[in-house]
Amino acid sequence: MKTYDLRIHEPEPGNGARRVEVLGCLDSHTVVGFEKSLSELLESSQAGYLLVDLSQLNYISSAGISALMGLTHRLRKRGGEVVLLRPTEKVYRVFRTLGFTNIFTICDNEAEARKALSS
Amino acid sequence: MTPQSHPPSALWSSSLDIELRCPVEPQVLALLRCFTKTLATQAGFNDEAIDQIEMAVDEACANVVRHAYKHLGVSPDLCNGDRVTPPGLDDLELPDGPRPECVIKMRVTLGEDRLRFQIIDHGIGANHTPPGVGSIDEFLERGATGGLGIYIIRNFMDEVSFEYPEGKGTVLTMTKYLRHSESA
Repeated sequence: MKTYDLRIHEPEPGNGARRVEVLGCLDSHTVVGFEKSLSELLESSQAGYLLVDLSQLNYISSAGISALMGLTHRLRKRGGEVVLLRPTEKVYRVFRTLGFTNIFTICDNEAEARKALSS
Repeated sequence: MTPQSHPPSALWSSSLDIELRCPVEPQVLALLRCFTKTLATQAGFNDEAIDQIEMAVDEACANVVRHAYKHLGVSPDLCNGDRVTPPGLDDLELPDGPRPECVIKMRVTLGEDRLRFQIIDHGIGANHTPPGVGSIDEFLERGATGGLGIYIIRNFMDEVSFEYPEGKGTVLTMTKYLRHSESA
């Protein structure tokens, strides 16, 4: 049973932002692979801007939220930013209930996300 | 947006008790979430409450997988599902008596107006239960490194209690009440 996948896209022209798609679920089982892949990406590319596409993420646990927080801290420290793109209704509801909509940068579409990354 | 309601299934016309016993394997978490979500949906909770129940149960079970049997060398590597045997396991001071069975037990009771979960392990117990954070601000102040799971359990369920029978293992009891407005 495949419950998780991560797709990493090529850097975009301009600010070199990377778009990554998280598919399936991000729980305490799958988050280890997510953190490892993102850590390798950040070390190898020095990417400062990340668009994390959550439109196909159907579940997130506290471990997943912690991983996104860790990623956000790490990029903000190097002057970058993480934008969470199109979270599913279910994932957004969890962010909203816990108060993370004020902490993460969340956008509904790519144009808005790119604007957030360039501001 | 008003959360979508689900009519309770006829299955719930009387109280129901279910008990599951699962191996302490990370892959079990996804299965238990499916089971929990199905139960909560059929009980008539709305989407928001279903998400909260699913998440609270998942956090409780993940804690068992990660922490409960660590002292016995049973701590699955959450990355690939392999069991990790800490170096020097033979030197570990194991509790007296027979080695406990390393399982997650889930007991579910559905009453007329509530869904109650008990997540039971025979592991390390009280001294090693993670304390959790009291607020999201505290979580952030601690560097967002842990404690959010317990916070979620306490805030997403209506009643939560931890018991440590005979000092061995943990029984986490969580109840969510079905408000009449939730069912169709």
